[in-house]
Amino acid sequence: MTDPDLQGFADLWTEPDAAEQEAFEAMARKARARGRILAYLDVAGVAVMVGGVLLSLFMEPGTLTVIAAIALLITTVIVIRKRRQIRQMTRALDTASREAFVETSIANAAANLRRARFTLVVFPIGVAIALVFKMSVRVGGRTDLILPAFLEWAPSLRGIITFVVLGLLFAWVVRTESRTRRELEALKEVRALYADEARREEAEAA
Amino acid sequence: MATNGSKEQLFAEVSSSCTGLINRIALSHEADPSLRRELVQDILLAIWIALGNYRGEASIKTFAASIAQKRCISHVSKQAREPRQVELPVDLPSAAPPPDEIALRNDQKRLLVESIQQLPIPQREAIVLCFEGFTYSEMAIILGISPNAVMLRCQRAKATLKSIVERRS
Repeated sequence: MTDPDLQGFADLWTEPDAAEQEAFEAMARKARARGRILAYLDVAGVAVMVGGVLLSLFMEPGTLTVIAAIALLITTVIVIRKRRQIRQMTRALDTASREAFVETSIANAAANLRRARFTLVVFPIGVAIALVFKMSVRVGGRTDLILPAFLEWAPSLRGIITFVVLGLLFAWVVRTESRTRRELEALKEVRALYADEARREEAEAA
Repeated sequence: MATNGSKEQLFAEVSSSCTGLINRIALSHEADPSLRRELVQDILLAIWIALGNYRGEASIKTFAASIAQKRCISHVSKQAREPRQVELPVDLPSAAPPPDEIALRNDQKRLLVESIQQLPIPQREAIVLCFEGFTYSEMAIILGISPNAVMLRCQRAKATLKSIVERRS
C-alpha cells in the first residue's frame, strides 16, 4: 500500500489482540462439535420417529392404528425429504464467484421461504394425523371412540400443554416466514449493490 | 477433498493462524459484540463444513477469508439491516504504550471501524482484504472478480473510506 494514510489505517486495523486467541479457540472447538452433531441429527430424527411409530404399532395393533401409522410415516418421509432437498442448496454456497454466491443465497432464501410456507400448510394436517393416531392407540383402534377420547383428553393438563407447545411451534414458523421474507429483500438489495459496483468497474475499465 | 484427519488438521490451522483475520472480517460487518461472537461462531462452523470440499487450490487463509466474507453477507442479510451503530468498547485492541497514546489510538481505531462499517458491502469486503495484506490475485479468488476489477474496487473503496473518515473526524 503506497498511500501513507491508508498504510496507517491498515496498521491500525491489523493491530493484534493478545486476548482474542484463547476465546477464538474455544469458539472453534464449539463449532467443530456443532458441525458433528448437525451431521447426525437428521438420521437420529428419522430413527426416533420410525422407532416410536413401530413401537406403538407393536403395543396397540389395530386397523386404524396401522392406517394412521402409515400416514404419519409417509408424511414424515415427505417432509424430511423436502427439507433435505432444500437444505442441500446451502452446500452450493461454497461457490467462487460473488455473483453466483449472492444468486445462490437468494435462491436459498427463496427455498427457505417456500419451506416455511410449506410447513405452515403441512403443520395443521400433520397435527391432525398425529392426534388421530394418538387417540386411536388410546382406544385400541375403535373408530367410534376416537372423538370422545379426544374431547376427554383435550381439556386435560397434558392436552392443554400439547396445544400450547403446538401453538408456540406454529407461531415460530410464522415468525420464520416473516424473517425469511425480510432476508430475501435484503439479499436482493445486496445483489443490486454488487451490480452497481460491477457497472462502475466496467465503465472505469472502458 | 480433505479427509477426516486432514480436515481436523486444517481446522486447527485455521484456529491458530486466522484468528485476527476472521475476527476483523466479522468486525467489519457487525458492530454489536454479542452478535459478532455469534457471527464468528457461524463462520467457524461454515469453515468446518466447507473444509470437506477444500482441495488446496488456494491457501487456507484465502479459503477461510472467502468463507468468512460470504458468511458475513448472509449475516447482514439475515439481520435485514445495516450494522447498528453500537458504541464500541473503549478497550479496543491496542498495543501497550502510555495511557494518553492508547486513548488516542483507541479513538482512531473506533473511527476507522465505524467508517469501514459504513462502506457499501462490496467496497467493505475489498478494503478489509486490502488491509489484511491479500494480493490482488488472492482477492480476485475471494471476491470472484478479475484482478483488474479488484484494483478498481480497492481504489474506489480507499477513496470512499478516506472521505468518510475525514467527514467524521
